[in-house]
Amino acid sequence: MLHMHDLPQRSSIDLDGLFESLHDSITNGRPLLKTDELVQLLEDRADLDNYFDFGNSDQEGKTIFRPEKPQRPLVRISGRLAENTRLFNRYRMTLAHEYAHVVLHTPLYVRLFDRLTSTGAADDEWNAATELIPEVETQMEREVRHAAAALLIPANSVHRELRRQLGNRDCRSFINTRDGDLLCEWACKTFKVSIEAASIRLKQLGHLVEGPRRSTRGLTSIADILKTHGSN
Amino acid sequence: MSGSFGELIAETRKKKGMSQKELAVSVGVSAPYLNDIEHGRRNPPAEEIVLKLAQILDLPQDHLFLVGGSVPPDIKNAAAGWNPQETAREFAVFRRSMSGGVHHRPKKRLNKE
Repeated sequence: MLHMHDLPQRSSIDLDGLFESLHDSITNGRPLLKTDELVQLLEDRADLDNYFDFGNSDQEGKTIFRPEKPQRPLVRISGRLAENTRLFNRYRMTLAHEYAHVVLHTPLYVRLFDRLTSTGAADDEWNAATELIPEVETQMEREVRHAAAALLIPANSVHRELRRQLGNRDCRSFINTRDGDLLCEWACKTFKVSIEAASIRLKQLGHLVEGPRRSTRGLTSIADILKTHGSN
Repeated sequence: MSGSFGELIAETRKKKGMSQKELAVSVGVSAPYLNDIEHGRRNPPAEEIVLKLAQILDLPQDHLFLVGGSVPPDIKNAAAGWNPQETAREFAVFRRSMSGGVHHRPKKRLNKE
């Protein structure tokens, strides 16, 4: 059984650092991590089943840690995502999400499988030990969501791209304003993620902030600048 | 060494740095179809696909047919006219050759040097 104390204490900053450096090592400063590069990352560390049929379930991805190949988990991605161009951004986020599971959680399972093997655990003990307690699962999912966002929308790329286009202007926008919406659209196009994912990440990074319902000039209006410069 | 046909294809493709999409396009099949083959959800494909896979992945055709559980086309053609007795005789010769009975091949040493 995995317990909370088995999970390494990783802050958001740690996760940002780890996954942004992975992004940078591949893209060499380019903001967009291409989907083929994402697939390649996964195939380097896992067995990728990219067109899996989850049947009637609405599941979009799953990482299976298996004792027979402890170092190479099996990652299943729903064919519904991989084959539907309208779900392209969701597909990318699902790939990144499962990749984060592989990177962050493979070592935990390797140790768990080693422990079970060395103690000669019976089948039912294996089954019980590989069940996740809700608290652990929640924590794993939390860090994986953050890591996936850091991989696809790295803070340094966001800051760099905004600085390139806005110069030294304050590049924050209020939530639920025209500026805020356009900032999200810009991130969505630049990093090829969903509007929802872009919005969450921009909030994390402090570019999208709580404020009045209507757009004000209190913060720099970046909408027109981003529109003028385009999203590339 | 890979066990199944699909595992062999996947492993060789990755070693060559090809994506599933690239290989699927080169061979002329869809990526989901190739993915199903790699994960053992479909039987090994038709002869012409196996030949293309062998060519693109630089794998010996005979080995790919063997792992896929089929017979290379030239052998199939040559054996097309065999009657059951001839088939049995040829296979007996083949089996003997495998165990070193007719055409001697050096046996693998089991002990480490």
